[in-house]
Amino acid sequence: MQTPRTVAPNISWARLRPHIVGWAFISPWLVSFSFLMVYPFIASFVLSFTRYQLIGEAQFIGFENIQRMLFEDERVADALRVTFTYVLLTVPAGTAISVLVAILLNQSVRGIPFFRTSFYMPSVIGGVGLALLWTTILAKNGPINAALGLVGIEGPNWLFDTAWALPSLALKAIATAGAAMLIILAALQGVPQHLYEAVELDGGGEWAKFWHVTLPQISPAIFYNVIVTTIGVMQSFVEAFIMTNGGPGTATLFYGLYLYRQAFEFYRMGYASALAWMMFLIILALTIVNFRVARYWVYYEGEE
Amino acid sequence: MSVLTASWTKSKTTQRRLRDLLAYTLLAVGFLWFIFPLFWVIMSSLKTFEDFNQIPLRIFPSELYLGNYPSAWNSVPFGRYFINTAIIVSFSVVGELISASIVGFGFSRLKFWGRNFLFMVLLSTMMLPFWVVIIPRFLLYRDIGWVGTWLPLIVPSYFANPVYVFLMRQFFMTLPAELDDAAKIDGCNELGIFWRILLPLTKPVLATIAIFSFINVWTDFVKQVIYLSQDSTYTVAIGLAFLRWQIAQGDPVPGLLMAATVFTSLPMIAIFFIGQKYMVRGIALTGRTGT
Repeated sequence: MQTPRTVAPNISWARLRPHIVGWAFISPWLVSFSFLMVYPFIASFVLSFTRYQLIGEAQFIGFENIQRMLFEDERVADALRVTFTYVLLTVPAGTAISVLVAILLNQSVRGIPFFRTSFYMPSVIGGVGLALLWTTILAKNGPINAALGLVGIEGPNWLFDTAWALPSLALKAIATAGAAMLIILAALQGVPQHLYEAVELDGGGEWAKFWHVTLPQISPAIFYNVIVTTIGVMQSFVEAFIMTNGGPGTATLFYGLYLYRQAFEFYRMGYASALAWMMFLIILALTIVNFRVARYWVYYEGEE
Repeated sequence: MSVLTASWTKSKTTQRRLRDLLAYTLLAVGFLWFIFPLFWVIMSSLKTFEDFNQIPLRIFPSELYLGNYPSAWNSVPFGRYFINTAIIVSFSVVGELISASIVGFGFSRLKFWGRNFLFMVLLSTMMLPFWVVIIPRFLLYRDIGWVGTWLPLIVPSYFANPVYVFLMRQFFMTLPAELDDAAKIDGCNELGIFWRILLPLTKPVLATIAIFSFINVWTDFVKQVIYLSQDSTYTVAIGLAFLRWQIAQGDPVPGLLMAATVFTSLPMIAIFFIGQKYMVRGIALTGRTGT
C-alpha cells in the first residue's frame, strides 16, 4: 500500500487533533459496537446456514436450517403462536392500564408521592424473584383463588392449566409494568397547562380535556412504550423458564425459551442462530408496522 | 387565581370532593393490587407448612414462624452466591460509570467527523434483540476461555452501554458551553475539562446509572445462566432458580421459597428506597431502565 502523499500537506496536526480526540473518547463504545454488536449480528447470520454443535468445525448446510424452521419443526409454529398471543395479551392491555394508572397518579391529591412509590416498587424486584412471587400468587391454593372462592368461583390451577397458563403470565407482566407507568406519568407532567385552559375557555369539560389535549400530548410516550414493550415481550424468557418451564405442553413455550433450549441445552448453534435471525426479522417487521400505524394516532408538535 | 376560586360555587366544591373521593378509591384499589403480592410473599415466608394447607386460606401466619429463613439460606449456598453477585455487580457498576461518562462526554461536548451519524447508530443498537447477538458472543467468549468465569458478565460494562451513554449525553448537553471555553483558556485539555470541570457536575446522572446497572446486573438471570457453569461462581438469581427447581413444581409453594424470594429481593428494595429520586428521573429521561 502506498501512502497518499498528495493529501498530506492539507492535514495538519492541529486540524486532525479534535477528531482524533473525539474518536478516542468514544472508542470504548466503538470496541463494544464492533465486537459485541456488528460481529455477532453478522456471525449469527452466517451461522444460520451451518450445522454447529460446539465441537469441530461448523458445517455449511445451505438452507437446511431455514427449511426445518419454517416447514418441519412444529415447535417453532407453537412458539410463534404462543409468543404472538402473549404480545397481544400484554401490550394493548398493559398500555391501557399504564395510561390509566399514570393519570390516576397525576391527580393533585394529598399523599400522591406515597402512592407513586408503592405502585412502582414491586417492579424493581425483577427477574427470578418477581417470577417466584407471582408463582405463589397464582398457586392453586393461592390468594387469587381464595378471593374467587369468596364469590363462589372455583379458580383453576393457573400456571398448570393449558388454557390459563399463558393468560396468567400475561397478568403478571401487566401487573409489574412499573416503568411504562412512570414514562407516561412523566409525559403527563409535561403537558402545557395553557392547553387545558384553552379547552376550559371553549367550555369543554374533563372528557374534552382528556380527548383533545391529554391523549394527543402523551401519544408519543404511549407510542414509545408500545415499541419498547413489543420488542421486550417478543424476547420474553425468564417468566416461562422459572414459572412454567414452557408448559403445560407447549402452552407457554415462548420463542425466547425455545431458542435458549436449542442453543444452550441442545447446543444446536446453527439452528438457534437461524431462529434468532427470524426473531430479529419479525421484531423488525413489527416495529415497522408500529411506525406505519403511528401516523394515524401519534401526534407530534408542529405537525399539521 | 383567587378570582377563580371565589367564583366557585358550592356545587364546584362538591364536585371537587367527589373527584377526590373517586381518586382515593381508585388509588386504594391500585395500592392493594400493586402491594398485595409483596405483602403476600412476606406473610407466606412466615408460615409453617401446615398453614399453607389450611382451608380457608389464611392471610396471616398462625404463628410467627421464622424457620423458613435459615432453612432457605442453607438449602443453597446463598452466602457465597451473595458474595459472588456483589463482586460482579460492583465491578460492573464501576465499568458502566466510567465508560458511559467518557463516551457520553465525547458524544456531547466534542465535535468530530461522523459524530451525529455514529450517535444515530448507537441509538439504533438499543433496538437490537438480545437473542440475535447472544450465540456468537457466547462462541467468542468460549474461544478466549471466558465461559464459566465472570468476565463475560463484567468486561462488557467497561465498553459503554448505549442506554447509559444516552443518559450521560443528554445530561452533558444541558451544561453551558462556557464551562468548556473557560477551562480551555485556563489551559485545560479535553481530558481535564471532562475530569475536573464537567464530571463533578454529573453526580445525579452517575447515581441514576449506578442504580440502574446495579438492579440490571443483579437480576440479569439470562446471561448468568448462559455463561456460568460451576457452583463456585453462581449468583443469587441462579441460586433462587435452583431452589425453585429443587422443589417439585406443585402446590403448595412452601414458605422456604418465599423466604428466599424475600431476602434476595432486599437489595433491590433497599436500592429503590435510597435512589428512588434518581431512578424516576432516569426513567422519565430515557424511557427505560437500562440494557
